[in-house]
Amino acid sequence: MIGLPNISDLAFMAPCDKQSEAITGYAAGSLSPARHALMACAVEINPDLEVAATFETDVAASLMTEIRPVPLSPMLIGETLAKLPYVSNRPANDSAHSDLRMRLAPKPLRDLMAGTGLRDIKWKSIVPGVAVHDILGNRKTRTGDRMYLLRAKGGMQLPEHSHHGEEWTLILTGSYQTENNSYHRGDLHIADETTAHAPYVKEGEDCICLVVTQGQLHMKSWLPKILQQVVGI
Amino acid sequence: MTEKRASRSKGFAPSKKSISAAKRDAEWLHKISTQQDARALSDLFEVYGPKLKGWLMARGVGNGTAEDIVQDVMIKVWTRAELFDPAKASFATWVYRLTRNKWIDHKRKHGRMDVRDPELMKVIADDEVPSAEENFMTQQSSDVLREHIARLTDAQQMAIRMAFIEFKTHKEISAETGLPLGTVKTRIRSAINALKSSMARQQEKLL
Repeated sequence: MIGLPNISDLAFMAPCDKQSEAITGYAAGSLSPARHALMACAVEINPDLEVAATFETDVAASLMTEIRPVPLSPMLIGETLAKLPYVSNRPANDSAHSDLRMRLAPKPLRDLMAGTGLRDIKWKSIVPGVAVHDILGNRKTRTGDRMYLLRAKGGMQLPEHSHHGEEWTLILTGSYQTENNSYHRGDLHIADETTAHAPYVKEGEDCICLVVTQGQLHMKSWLPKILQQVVGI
Repeated sequence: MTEKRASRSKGFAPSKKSISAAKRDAEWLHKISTQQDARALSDLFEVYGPKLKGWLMARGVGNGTAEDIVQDVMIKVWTRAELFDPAKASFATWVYRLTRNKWIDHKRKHGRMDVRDPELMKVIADDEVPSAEENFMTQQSSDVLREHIARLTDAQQMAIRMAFIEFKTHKEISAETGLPLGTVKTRIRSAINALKSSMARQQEKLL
């Protein structure tokens, strides 16, 4: 019993302010599309975030009654009824995959890849051991958010970098360490624009992360800077 | 852990009014999924359509686009009605989530973003109904939540509204109120925490 926190305290405990802000933004619908998508994935694989997001989505939904309703055009419902598709009695479509590897990707990713999973992504290698796969935007995206998957081999030290705006990282496989913390599957790591960091990927499993940044990363040393010009990250 | 979560899901006592609304919604959904009853869908959107449109327009969406989104949501409710489980979520929360995700989807499609993988983004943005979020969706009714919000201090209530329905960024709120950015964030955070504690206390009483 000693030192074990009460479970309900755990569930209601704010993981940290930045995460809490992200959850509120997600629930309220005020995040950019890329960050909203990342949160949808995070909520699916992280039970603590799920509990928090569920609560705040309920709050947001219940506050809808405080917004002035706007009458629909008289024809809207009728027009919509005329468009309704035929719905056959199909079974619920949650394709429960037996392959554990496939479960590593949150459902949205699995669905997209038609059952293939994270391993069949076409990765673009950046430096030996590190590869990316663009999902939304690319290195030429100057403004707005960019979303990509990043894969790093176990034992790698990633180049030290900082970024415009916040960098949001959702860990899907493996784990990495920064100076202060270690991050595992389901962890949401929000790095401030002011801190430069060089995560160390732990030995063993590849670390695959879903990342949202704004614009390009700023590399601290010359080698990654040059590589960045060539392959882009 | 599971036990605690399971108990939370039935911890709140909804008022009679919200029970009847929830029951009414659940009956409509049942009719849609089992009998393909278009009348039930129509009734449902007589109630929820204007609310959803109001929410969208408060977000700055134009009249036509707001109605397009409401129509998409209505069709989605029609095709996905069988996935709605009143034991897990209120219809209000379910339909709110559909609308919110459609709105984000709309922003993405009409923004300047270079979509690398449109299919992926479609699936992510469409991630609505059977998501894991529903697995232990608490069935706290909207009315109960609103009662708890009403018990917060005025300043806390204002902070909650700012975060969830005024649709302003923290920076905008900071500029308007003259409060430092950090203070705005702290106030919103502590108001949400106060609401959580208030709900948790009621739950404990009921256990």
